[in-house]
Amino acid sequence: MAKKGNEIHLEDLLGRRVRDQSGRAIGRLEEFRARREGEHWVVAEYDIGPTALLERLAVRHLGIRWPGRVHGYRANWDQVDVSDPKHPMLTCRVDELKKLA
Amino acid sequence: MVEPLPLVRDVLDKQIYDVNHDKVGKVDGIVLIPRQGRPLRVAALQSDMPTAWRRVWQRLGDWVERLQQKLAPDLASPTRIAFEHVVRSGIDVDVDIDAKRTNAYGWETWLRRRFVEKMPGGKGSGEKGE
Amino acid sequence: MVLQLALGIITAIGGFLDAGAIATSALAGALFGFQLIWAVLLGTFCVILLTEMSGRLAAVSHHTVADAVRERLGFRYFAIPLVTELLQDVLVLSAEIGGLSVALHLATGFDYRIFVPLVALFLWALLWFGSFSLIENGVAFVGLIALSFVVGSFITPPPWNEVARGAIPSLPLKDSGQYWLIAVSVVGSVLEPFLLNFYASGAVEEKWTVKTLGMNRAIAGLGMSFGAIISIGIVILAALTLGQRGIRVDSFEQVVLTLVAPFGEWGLSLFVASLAIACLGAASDVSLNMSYAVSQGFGWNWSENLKPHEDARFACVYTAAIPAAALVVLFFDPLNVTMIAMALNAVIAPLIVFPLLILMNDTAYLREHTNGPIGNVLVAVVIVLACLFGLVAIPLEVLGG
Repeated sequence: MAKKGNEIHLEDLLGRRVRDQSGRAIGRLEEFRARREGEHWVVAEYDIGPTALLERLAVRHLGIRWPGRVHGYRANWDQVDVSDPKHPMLTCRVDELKKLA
Repeated sequence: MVEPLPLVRDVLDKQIYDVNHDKVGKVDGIVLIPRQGRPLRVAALQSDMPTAWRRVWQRLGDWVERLQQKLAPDLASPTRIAFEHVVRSGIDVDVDIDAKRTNAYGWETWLRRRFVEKMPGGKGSGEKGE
Repeated sequence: MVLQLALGIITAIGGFLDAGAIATSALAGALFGFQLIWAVLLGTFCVILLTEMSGRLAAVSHHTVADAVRERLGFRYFAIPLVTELLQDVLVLSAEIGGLSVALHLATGFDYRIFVPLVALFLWALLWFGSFSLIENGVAFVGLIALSFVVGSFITPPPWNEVARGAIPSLPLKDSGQYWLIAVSVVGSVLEPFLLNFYASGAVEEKWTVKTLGMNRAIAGLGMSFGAIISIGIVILAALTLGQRGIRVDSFEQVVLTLVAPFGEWGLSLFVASLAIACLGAASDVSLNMSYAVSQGFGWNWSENLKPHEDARFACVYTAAIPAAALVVLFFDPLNVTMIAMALNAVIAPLIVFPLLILMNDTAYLREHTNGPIGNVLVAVVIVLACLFGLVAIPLEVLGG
């Protein structure tokens, strides 16, 4: 069925490139971490980048790491604008994001 | 503080079981509601073929949906389960509702009535050998 | 438990042999003597490793390979092996329906095409009315008749030192394109991708648990090993009967000679029975696997032990697949379909095997029963081999004719 007007689907956002305010891609949306807020659940954090993908595939404990510089970030919900699901954008600077170990 | 729930790792694509431990379907999609100045609300699990195939190719999902509408228009809406009914997640997702009260078995029933029951041996229920 | 183990081993033996194994082993023996026995052994080693893992996954997590691939890697990845495996399964099913029809042709003299719709109908009825244990154990027991290939290779004993030498990989002495194509096809006939999910689905059907992990290892190891011995028996007999007479295997009918030589006029009956039962068993496994893969992929109710009324979608998948496969073999020669299917098995194997490397290390599914380092290395080696075979299978199919 066609989506209802004010909905976003998580699977449409999954894997989308997140760009910073200068248009540079910093990684793909790989995980959405939800928390309870009263009786509802809300998306509290977004994990971005290949490290997040490894986490999602549950292989990080094998010692598999992405080489080189930082390859994963955790963003709070207000640090990523997903109003356009095809083009999620950071609302802050990259260095304000938490780096995934 | 309780660890956040990773929706992709522990919910999306997982098998949904209802309160009777019957299979409902896989979590093909998760519906999120945007709210001004607030985080996205996780509204519902969604389970149906068009949602799944749209993840591969948008047009493919649309074709599947059109096919469903041609075959049985009243069955062409996805199964949605409010996220508040999720009681457990991980490699499976358990919900606290009876799936028979949803449209989850619409196509199963349609196939059963249209084809299975018209074949020899198609009317008996339960396990084989009973 | 002992009975269950014995049944499992017999089922694995019976399940090892099918139209593909018979055709590729006969072709290998006819064209290259004992030189390709190593390919049977290589395929067997890989299939033991992978079936043990898929059985372990199912026993510990109660999830099958198809379940876990979708759940861990997502639908976008899952769609690729799902679609390719379904198309491949139709081809393999065509080969098995063709093989069984040829067996009936050999028994009656009538054109095999007459039997194709009858075989398809019988197969459908077996799945529609039969339970999982009836299909697996019943067919497997009767399938032990295929041990006649092993007995035959002792009645007309080969030079065993040459057989032993064939167990070591060697370069071809002639026709290298054809040699490697048949090697790939032999491996593909053993390492059939559908087998992994089918084995795991059977483990869930039979309600295996952590307590049956030992039995899983025994069934995977012993059952597949005994099955390999039957395939090697076919290679040996083909080398002695067909190869020495310069007979290229262009049809299943020629393979009859492999059992006529040791058993005389009984050979035809033994071959017909072996081919028919092997193909019936494999056909039911492949058909069921298609239903399993689709049902598990979309989270539907599934079990061969349920009446079709209880899992209509599951039953409708094999109900649609069987006539589709039957149509293929009505228009194309069964042996050609078989050889193409076996080569294509090698092409899609990496898609199916690669996820196992991830899944078998996932503690959410396997808890403390994940792979150790050696297991992971072995799976990685199998993936590399599968990729290599997959890459060369299509060009070899074209070059090797």
